[in-house]
Amino acid sequence: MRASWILALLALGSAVGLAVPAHHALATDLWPGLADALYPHRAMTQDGTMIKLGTPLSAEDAALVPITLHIAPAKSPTDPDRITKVTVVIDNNPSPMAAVIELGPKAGITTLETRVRVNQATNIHALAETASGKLYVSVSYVNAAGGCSAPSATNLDPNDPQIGQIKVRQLPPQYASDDPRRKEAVVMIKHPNNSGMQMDPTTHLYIPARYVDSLKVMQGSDLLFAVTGGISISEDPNFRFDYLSNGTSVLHVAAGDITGKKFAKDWTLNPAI
Amino acid sequence: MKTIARSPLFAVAGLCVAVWLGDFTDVAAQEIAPLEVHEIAPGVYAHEAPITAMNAASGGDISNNGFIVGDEAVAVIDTGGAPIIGERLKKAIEKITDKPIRYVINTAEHPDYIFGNAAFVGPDVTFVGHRNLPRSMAVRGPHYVETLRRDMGEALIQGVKLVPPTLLVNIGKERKLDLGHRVIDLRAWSMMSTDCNLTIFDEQTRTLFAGDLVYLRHIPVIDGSILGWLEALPQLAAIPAQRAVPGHGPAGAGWPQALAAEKAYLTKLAADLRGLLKQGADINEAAQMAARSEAAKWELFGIYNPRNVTAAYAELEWK
Repeated sequence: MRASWILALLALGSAVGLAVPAHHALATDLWPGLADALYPHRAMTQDGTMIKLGTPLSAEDAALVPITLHIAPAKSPTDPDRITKVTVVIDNNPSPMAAVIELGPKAGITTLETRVRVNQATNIHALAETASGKLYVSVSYVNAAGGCSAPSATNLDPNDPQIGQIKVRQLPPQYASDDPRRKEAVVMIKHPNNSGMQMDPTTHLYIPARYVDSLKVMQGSDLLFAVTGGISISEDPNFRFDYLSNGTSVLHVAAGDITGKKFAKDWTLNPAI
Repeated sequence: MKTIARSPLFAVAGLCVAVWLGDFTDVAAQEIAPLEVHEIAPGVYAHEAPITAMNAASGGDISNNGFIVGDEAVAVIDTGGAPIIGERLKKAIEKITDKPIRYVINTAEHPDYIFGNAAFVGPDVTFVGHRNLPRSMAVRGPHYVETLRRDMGEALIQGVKLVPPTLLVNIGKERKLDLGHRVIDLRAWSMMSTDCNLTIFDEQTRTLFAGDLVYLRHIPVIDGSILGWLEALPQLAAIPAQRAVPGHGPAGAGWPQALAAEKAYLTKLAADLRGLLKQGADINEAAQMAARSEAAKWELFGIYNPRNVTAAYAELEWK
C-alpha cells in the first residue's frame, strides 16, 4: 500500500516536471529538521562522490541492518577535502542519531560497515564533513521487514562476563589495491546495547538503557576511527573497515558504555594478513 | 499451496471482530467457523495451516496448532496468528468435546503462536510457557502488534492480547500436566530456533508437538541460535515419539525423520557461512550466497534465507 502511494507521488512529481527525489518521500520527512539541528543553515552537497551510503533495500532483520559508508580517499592527512567526520542518521528511529564517526588523519579508511536497528521504514542519511568544513550527504531508503523482525530478546544477565568482550578479525583486503599497506579488519564488541525501553516482565520496571556510547580504535598512536554511538547501533556492535597500516603490530580497541563500564583490548595483528 | 479464499474469510472475520468487540463472545460464537482440525492420534487433534506469511490474505492462519483431550480437561497448544484464529480453534474444540480447557500452552513467542491467546482467557484457564516467554513477550510483543497491524490490517489485529504464561517451565526440569488419565510432558529448551522453545509430548499416543523446533516444507527460521539448534537436535531426536506436529508443515509427520530436512539445511548454512567468513565475505555477500543449494527444497526461501544468513553470520563471526 505504502509502495503504491510512493509510486503515485513519484509519478505525480515527474508529471509536473519536478526532479524525482533521490530519497523516498515518507509520510513525514523529518530530514530537514534533523539536518538543521545538526548543522544549522548549512548547504549540503549530495552527489555521491565524497560520501556514498549503501544499504539493503529491505531489512532482512530489522535488528541487524548492515550499512556501508563509502568514503572518498584523502590525498594526504592534510588534504582540505579529507573527510574527518561522518554522522549516520536514521530518520524515523526514536533516536535518529545513530553514530558519529571520526576518521583518523592517517587512517586511509575508504569503506566502513556497521549494523543498525531500524524501527520502521526509513531514510538513512550519512552526512560527511571535510577538514575545510564542507558538508556532503548521501541518503538511502530501507524498508523494514515483516513481523518476525523484532528487538533482540536475549537474556544476557547485566553481569554476564561476556559483556564487553572484544574481538578483531583480520580480512584479506576486499578491494584490489596496489598498496600493500592497505588492510581490512572487523572490530566486534559483545554488548546487548539495550535501548532502555524494554519492560522487565517480573518487576514491570523498564530495563535501564545500557549501550556502548564510545569506541576508539588506534593503530599504535594513530587514530583509525572513533565512534560516539547510541541505541540505534545493533546488539554486539560491529565495525568493518579498510585502512592503511602504519606498520605497527597492535590494534588498540577501547570502548565504554553509558553505565561507565570500560572495555579494552590490545589485539596483536598477524602480519601475514 | 493452500490458501484461504479471500472474501468469505474477510466477511466472517470482519463480522466476528466487530461483534466480538461489541458484545464479547456469545453472539460472535454463532458466527465463527470452526478451524479445520484432524484427529492425528486418539484424543490428539491438529490444525495444519497453509504455508504462507503473516499478512491480510493469510488472516493469521500460518502455523499449526492443536489440542489434547484428557478424561477431565483439554490442553490447547498454540492459538494462531490472530484473535479470530484463536476463536475458531476454540470453536473446533467445543464441537469435539465439552471438557473444559484447562491449559493454553505457547510453544514460542512468535505472533503466529500467541496472537489468538485472547480467545481463551478465563478464570479456569492457565497459560503455560517457557521460563523466558514472559520476557520475550514483553520485549517483542508490542513490536509485533505494531508491525503486524501494518502488514495484516487493523481488523485482524484489533483484540490481540499479549497474555503471558503464569505456569513456567524451566530448562532441564520437565513438567508434567495431568489432563485426567492422560499425562503430557512439557520440556523447555536452551536457545534453539528462539530462546523460548517449548515442546509437548503426549505419553499415551507418543505424539510430539514441536512448535518452531521442527519445520517441514516451510524454511526453518533462525531467531535464536543456529549452533544451539544444531547442537540440541540429537536430544530432540531422542524423544520417543511416533509422530510430530511441526510448527509449520504436515501434521503427524514420522519421527525422528521429520528432523532430517531442517538438519540438512542448518548444517549446510553453517558450513557455507564458515567458508564465507574465512574468505572475508561481508554480510550482504553472504546473504546472496549461503545455503543457495537448498533453495528448491523449501517454501518461503527467498524471504527467510537472507534473514537466517544475517542472524547466523552475526553468531558465527564470534566463533
